[in-house]
Amino acid sequence: MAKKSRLTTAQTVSTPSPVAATPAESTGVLSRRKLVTGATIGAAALAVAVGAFGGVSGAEVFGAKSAAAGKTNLTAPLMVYILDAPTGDLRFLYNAKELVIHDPALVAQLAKVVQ
Amino acid sequence: MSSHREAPEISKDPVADNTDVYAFVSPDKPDTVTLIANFIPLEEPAGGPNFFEFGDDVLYEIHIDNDADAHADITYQFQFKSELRNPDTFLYNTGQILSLDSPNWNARQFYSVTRVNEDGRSAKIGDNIPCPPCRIGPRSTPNYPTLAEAAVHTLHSGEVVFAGQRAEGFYVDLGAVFDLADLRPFQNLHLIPTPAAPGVNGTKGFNVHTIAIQIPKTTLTANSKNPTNVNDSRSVIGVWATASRQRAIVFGAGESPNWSTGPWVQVSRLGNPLFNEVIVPLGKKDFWNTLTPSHDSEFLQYVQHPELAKLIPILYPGVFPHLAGLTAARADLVAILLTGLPSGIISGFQNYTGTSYADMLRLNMAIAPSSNPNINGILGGDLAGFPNGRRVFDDTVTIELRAVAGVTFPLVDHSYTPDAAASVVTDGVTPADLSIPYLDVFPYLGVPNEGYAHTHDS
Repeated sequence: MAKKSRLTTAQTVSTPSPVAATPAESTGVLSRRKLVTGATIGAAALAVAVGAFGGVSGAEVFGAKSAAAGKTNLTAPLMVYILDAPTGDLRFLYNAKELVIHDPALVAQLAKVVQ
Repeated sequence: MSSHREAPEISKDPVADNTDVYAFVSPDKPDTVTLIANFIPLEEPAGGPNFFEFGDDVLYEIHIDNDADAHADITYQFQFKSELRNPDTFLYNTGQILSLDSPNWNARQFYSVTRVNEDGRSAKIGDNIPCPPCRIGPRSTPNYPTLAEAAVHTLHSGEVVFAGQRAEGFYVDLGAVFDLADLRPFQNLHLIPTPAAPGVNGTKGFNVHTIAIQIPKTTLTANSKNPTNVNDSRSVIGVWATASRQRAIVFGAGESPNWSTGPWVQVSRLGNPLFNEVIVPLGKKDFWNTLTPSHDSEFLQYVQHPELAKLIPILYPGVFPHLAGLTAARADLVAILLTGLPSGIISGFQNYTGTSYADMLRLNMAIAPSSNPNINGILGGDLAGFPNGRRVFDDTVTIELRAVAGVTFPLVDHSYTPDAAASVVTDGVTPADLSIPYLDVFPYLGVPNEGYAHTHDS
């Protein structure tokens, strides 16, 4: 019988961005409102990925414009990081899990915040 | 401390630095095996005001392979939690610590033990187990041996555990060996000679933090039976220890605590003594620490042609002419460190785990403890000693020095004659050079050196 890895390994979920970044958001530094707006473009993809952590929906995590804004099922800190922007990968760390989603458009939007 | 500060990154992370691993049939309870993993190298006993502790954010593990595939079949996980009873004092203790629940003991630590099986199923077999305090001095921790004994716990599942400070049991002339492989008894023959002198134990007077577990043999074997046949492969287990941290640590701002998140990432590993210390090159030591033993074929070349074997004839010119001419791959060292010795090489002994190259301690549990132990283990004719597992008193520095110097090559090539010096080379340090003796009972390592006593030079 093949042995399961005892330590949790990163899972990769590849989901294409449903909507490309708009020209207005591709120029200059994004305001917080625009950043949040841009994030919801990828919310559908994120919902699939974040749901893998167990019952936490992407809308709740990025719930700026949803009715569940400010309410989450998270019981521990959630960290999201981009290690290598050109890959288009977003990495989520939650408890002892790591999840990778592939969303180049969202990564590009997030990167603009620090550029 | 056969693997202390042995890699650049782990040298900066003492609480996760696995310094020694031991695996042996318990001499006083030969139906059990004792496994020990030590951490935190060169612990100065006078360690106040914040005495040494395990890392609350480190996952400590002892792994056992019982089917010779270099993968863990059983893993014991240890995780720790510190408790500060009074944050408004700077003191570790506000009076004498006479028991493990002393109201005078402010900074305490507890741990859990989880057993994980091959298929990933886990069971917590112990929780909120107290560690003993560090050994401070006659005023703070009088009657320390009694305190330490109280920290030995028998779990409902049958294992006996201890986690806490002990005296460093590994002995080596640390100052000399890393001074261009100087061996004081022979330094008159060194390329840069000085008069010969007795070895000096560089670890004398230091402490270490020990995780020890004593396990019934029937719990460890693949068939759950007591191993009695030395030649049966099921009598042999492979053992190694690791320490892991979570992928990310965030340092809290202000009074916010730090927090860790993400999957556990292995940062330290140890099987055979001195493997990462002197076999693996500097540029790969950190990488080696992240791997499981099943990946050790990547390091085969360093065992087949160890750098130390090339250096010894240079540093001791004219003393090792046969070693200087030995250019063949060191199948003897591969057997000792990466595969175990098959039957037929040494009469009455085998600890072979197959052709997969993996750095593990290999213990043949069917071999009884020796009634007259020899610290040179199998090289000294004692089949119960290293490299058959590793006992706390085995002189692994001398054993491995002599093996690298060629004394074991005739096991695989009868035409080779070792240099005369190969069978006598040593750093000159023995258990007699320890400040605290070993114990005859679990956890076998002596009680810690006392901070007040400063026993380094006594």
